Amino acid sequence: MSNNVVAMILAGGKGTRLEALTKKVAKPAVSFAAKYRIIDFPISNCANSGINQIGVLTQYESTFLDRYVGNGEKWGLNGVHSLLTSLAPHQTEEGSSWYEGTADAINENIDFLDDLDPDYVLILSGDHIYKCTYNDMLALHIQSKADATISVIEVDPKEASRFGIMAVDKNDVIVEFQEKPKKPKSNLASMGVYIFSWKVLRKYLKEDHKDEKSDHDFGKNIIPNMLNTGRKLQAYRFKGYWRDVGTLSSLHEANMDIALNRCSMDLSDYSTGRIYTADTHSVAQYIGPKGSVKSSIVNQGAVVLGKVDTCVISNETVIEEGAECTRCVIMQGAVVRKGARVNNAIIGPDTIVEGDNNLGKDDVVLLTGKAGL
Amino acid sequence: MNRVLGICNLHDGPNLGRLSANTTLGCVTFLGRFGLMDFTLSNFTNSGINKICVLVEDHVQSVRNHIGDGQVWVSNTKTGFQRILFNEKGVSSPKFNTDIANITTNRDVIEEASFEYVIIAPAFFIMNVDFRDALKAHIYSQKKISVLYKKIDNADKEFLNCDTISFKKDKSISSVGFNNGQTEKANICLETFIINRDEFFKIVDDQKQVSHIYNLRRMIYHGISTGQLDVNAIEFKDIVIPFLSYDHYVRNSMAVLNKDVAEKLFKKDWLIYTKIHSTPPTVFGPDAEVRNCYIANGCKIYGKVENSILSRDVVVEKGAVVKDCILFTHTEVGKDVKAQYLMCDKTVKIETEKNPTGEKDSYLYIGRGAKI
Repeated sequence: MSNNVVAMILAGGKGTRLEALTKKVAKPAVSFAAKYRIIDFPISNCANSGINQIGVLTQYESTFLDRYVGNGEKWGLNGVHSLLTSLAPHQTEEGSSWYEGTADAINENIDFLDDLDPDYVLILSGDHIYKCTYNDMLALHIQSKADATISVIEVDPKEASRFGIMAVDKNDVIVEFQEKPKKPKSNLASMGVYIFSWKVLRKYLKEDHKDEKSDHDFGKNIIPNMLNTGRKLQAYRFKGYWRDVGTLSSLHEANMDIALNRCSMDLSDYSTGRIYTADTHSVAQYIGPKGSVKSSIVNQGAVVLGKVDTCVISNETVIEEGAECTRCVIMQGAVVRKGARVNNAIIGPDTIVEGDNNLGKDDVVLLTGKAGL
Repeated sequence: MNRVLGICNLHDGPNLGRLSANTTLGCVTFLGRFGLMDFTLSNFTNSGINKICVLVEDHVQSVRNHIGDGQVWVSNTKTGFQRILFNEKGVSSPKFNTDIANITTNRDVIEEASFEYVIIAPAFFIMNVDFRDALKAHIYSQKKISVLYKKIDNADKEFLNCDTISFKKDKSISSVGFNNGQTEKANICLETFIINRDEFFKIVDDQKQVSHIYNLRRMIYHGISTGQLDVNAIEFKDIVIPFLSYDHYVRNSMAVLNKDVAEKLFKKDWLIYTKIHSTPPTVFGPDAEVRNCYIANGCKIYGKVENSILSRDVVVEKGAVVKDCILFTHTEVGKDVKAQYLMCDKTVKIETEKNPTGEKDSYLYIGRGAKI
C-alpha cells in the first residue's frame, strides 16, 4: 500500500460500560489478551498494511494514551517515512473546545491532514479487536470509484438492531444506512472502519461543522449526508474475527475466545502480521512446582504457583499456591492470594484478591483494588 | 555516571562447547528470554551509564542481530550510545585478536567519547552490579584501577579455574592466582575493572612493549606482579552465577528453577533489558500439564512439561512429555515423544525418535536445526 493513505484512529472515548477499568485510562488503553492494549490492534493493522502515517485522536484521560503512543516505536512507526502522533483537543485561533463527535475530531485536525495531503483517509476506531490488513479494502475503494468505503461484517439477524446497518444492492453499493434500526433491512453491520477520498470527506466535514443541529458524528451525520447527496458508498465485506469490546461481558468473552482458541484470529500466525505492543522487560513466565495451567494464555513475567483453567494472564501477575482461577482475565500486576477461588472475573490491573474467598459466579464480575476483603 | 564509559567485553570468554560454536557467548540464550550479555548491559543501564561499547571477538553478526540499534539499553539516544566494536583483521589471526587489539583498532571511536572512567566487564558472570556504588568505592580508594571480586567458601566446587586475588589490608591487590579447587575459601576475580581514562589508554599502549597476545586482564595482572600497578579490590556481595563451560551452562540455568536463586537474581528495581521479539503470550492447551518451568512467549504447549526452560516459540505437542530439558527458540517436540535431559539448540525438531534422553549430569546436546 502506498503512503498516500493516512489513518486517523478515534481513541477519545471513555468506555463507561467498562466501569472501573476505564477510571484512569481510556478504553483503547485497556488490556487485552494478556499482553496487549486494545489500540495495539488497529495500529498494528495499519503497520501491517504499510500505512505509516497515523493520527490518534485522544480526549478522555489522554495523558496515558499520549504517552503510550509515544513516537510510534512500539509498532515500528518511528522510521523515516513514518509518523504516529496523538492528536488531543487543542487551542486554535478560533478558540478551544473538546471534540464534540467523531466527525468533529477529524474536522478539528483538518490542518494535520492537509499537511500530509493524502489521497485517502482511513478512519478507524481505537477500541475494536481484529487482525487484518486494509489493502483489499483500499483496492475495492479505488476499483469501485467510491467516495467512501465502509467495512461491514455479517451479524446474526436477531442482533442486527444493535448495530449501524447497511442496506446494499447486488454490487454491495450502499443504498441505505440505518442506525440501530428496529426493522433492519440487512445483516451487514458497520465496523466503524471507513476509507474516504480525502477531498470528498473534507468538503462534508466543513459542511457538517457549520450545521448547528448536527451531532458531528460519522454514523449519524456524515454517512447519511453523503448518501442523501448521491455519493457512492461501497460496502467492503470483512471476513474474520471482529469484536467491539465495549462491555465487561464482551471484553471477557473476547478474551475467552483467545484463551480457548475458538476464534479465527490467530495471534501466533506471523504470516498475517504480528500485533505489536510495548515490551515489559519481564523474566519468562514461571509455573511453579504445584502450579497447573490449562486452556489459557499466559504472558511473560507471570508467576503461576496455583491452579489456572481457561484464563488470560498478563505480565507481572502472581497466582499464589493454593489459589484457583477459572474463566478469569487477570490483568497486569494483579495478585491472587492463597486460598482465593475466583470464577468468571476480570481482575483489574494491580488488584489484590485476598485469600479464603469464593468470588464470581455466572455473570462476569470486575475485581479491582483490594478485592475480597 | 555520564563520566563513565561502560564496555562489555566479549573477548576471551569461556568455551560453552557447541552452544558458543556458532555464536558469541554473550548471545547464548539464558532462561528462555535473555542473552547472557543482557545482564552486563543492563547493569550499565540501571547504573545510569549511557555510553556503552561492546567489544566483539567473533560472530559479530549475532551480536548485531541481538543488540539492533542498541537503544534498549540507552537512556538518552542523543547524549548516549551503544557501539559494537569489532577488529576485522583479528579474525585471520585469532591469537592476536585480543580486546586490546580491538580497542586499538577502534581507538578513535572510543577516544571521542567524553569520559573519565572506564568500567569493563565480561558477559560470563551473571550478576546485578550497581556500578554507582562500585565507582564511589573506586574514587574513594584514590587508585587508578579497581577490580570487583567475590569472596566464596566453596572454591573446591565452584568457580574452578577462575582467577583469584589476594590483597593487603588496604585492599591493594598483592597477587593474582587461579582457583585450582584445592581450598574452600577464595577471592574470585570477577574480571570487572574500573579504570581511570589515562590509565586505561596507558595499559593499551603498554601492551606493545610487553606482549602482543596479552589481553587487558593479563596486562593488569602483569602490572600487579611487576609492582607497576596498584589495584584496588572491591568486594561484590550479591549472587554471581558463572558460565564457564557447557556443563556449567546447563547446571546453572537449571539452578534458577530454584525459587531462592531466582529471587536473588531477578529484582523488581533492577530490570534486565533484552531484544524485543513481539511474540504473543504462550498458549496452554486443555491437556497441558506444566510444573516448575520457565517459559518464554510464543510457545504452544499441549503436552506435559516439567523442570524445564523453554525459549520463544517452542511447541510441545499433545502426548509429549518434556522433563528436565532446556529447549531453545523454535524447538518442536512431536506427538508422544518422551524427552529428558536434553539441551536442544534453536529450531530442533524431535519427531521420529520417541525417547531422546541424556543423563542428569550430561545433558544430550542436539544441534541447531537438527531433526531427529
